[in-house]
Amino acid sequence: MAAPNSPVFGQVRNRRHLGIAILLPIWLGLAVAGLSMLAVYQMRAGRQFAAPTQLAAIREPTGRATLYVFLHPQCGCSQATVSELERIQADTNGKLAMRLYFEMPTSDRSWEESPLYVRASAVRAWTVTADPGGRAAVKFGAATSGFTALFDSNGRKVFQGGVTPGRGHEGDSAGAATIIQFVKTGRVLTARTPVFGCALGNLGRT
Amino acid sequence: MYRKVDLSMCRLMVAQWIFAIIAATWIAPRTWIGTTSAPNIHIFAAVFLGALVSGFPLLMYRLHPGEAVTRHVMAVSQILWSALLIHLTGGRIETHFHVFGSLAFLAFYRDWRVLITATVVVAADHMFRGIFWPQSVFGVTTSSNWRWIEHAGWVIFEDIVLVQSCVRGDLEMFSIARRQATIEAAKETTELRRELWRK
Repeated sequence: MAAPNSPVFGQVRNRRHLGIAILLPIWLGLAVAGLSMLAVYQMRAGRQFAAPTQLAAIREPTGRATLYVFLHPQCGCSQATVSELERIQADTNGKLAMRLYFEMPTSDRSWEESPLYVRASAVRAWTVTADPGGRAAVKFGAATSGFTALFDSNGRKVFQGGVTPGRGHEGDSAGAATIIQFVKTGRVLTARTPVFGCALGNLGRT
Repeated sequence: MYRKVDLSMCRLMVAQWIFAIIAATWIAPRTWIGTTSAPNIHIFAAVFLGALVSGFPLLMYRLHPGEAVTRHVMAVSQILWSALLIHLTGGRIETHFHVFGSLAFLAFYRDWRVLITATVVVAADHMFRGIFWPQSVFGVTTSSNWRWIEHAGWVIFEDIVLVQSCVRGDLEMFSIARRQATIEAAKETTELRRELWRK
């Protein structure tokens, strides 16, 4: 066996170090590329169409500011939207009405047992409604799960968009900040934000 | 000592990989378009990206156990795991604590340079994303180019305590080793004198 300070041992050691010098940047590059792909996926916004500018046009009753939310019951990413809605609910202290519509297949009501639907239904302050065939979603221009539209007490649209900073990601977002600011001060920070989530059946597929 | 910590870190790498696969499967296994669905990209990320992030440190342990380069690879990998887990758990604020837990684990090496490597990776990640993609890290589309410093600052805050602990631990270990060597040398000298006395 070669002694630790022999030329043979030195050659083996140099070859190993050369291996590390080659493998290390490749490994790091691949890992960064993978994480970047995830970030691109996280930040890819879904489609949305213009919600009605006046709530009376779609004959919905209103008394205070109302937030309409459209969700896909099986969308795992929309758990983040529901978490953000819970925060908005806490921050606005009951001054905001929330109506959540869950798009359902017309023939299958088993989606009402999905974790997202069950979780939202447990919040007493919210009105949770099944939306068979996504008819309400089409009226409001919702094409992506997590789409919200905020109307003031006179039924005028003040904001539409998502309330998460990315797909399936909780955290501060311009959408949530706008809704809270409007309910507290009447000020609108932005009129539209991107929506992140799974596509809803009717408009999401077009 | 370094080899023992390397082994513990390898076990942690495998545990994190298993956890990531379970989390991805549990949280959002599929993406939906109306009534049709496909496996979520998170499943592939947990399996393949997780294998990549954990695999290289395991290889380094196999080829270079106890060496400095292995420790630094473990540090980089551990912070990459923080980024991956934060992503897979939907950016939950609770998962951000993984960064601080990781630094504590890395402090077991008692090598403060490893903490610096981990901190540089955290700071670089926040700096680049903060400048080019602020919404992905701070949740707002426009943010100060210097906000990443606030985040890095909290990491450095923990580093200060951990580096002190590493240096103190090293000094104590050195002091114990020197005392042990002195005792053993004294014992050998005494035995040698006793043998000479007998002769």
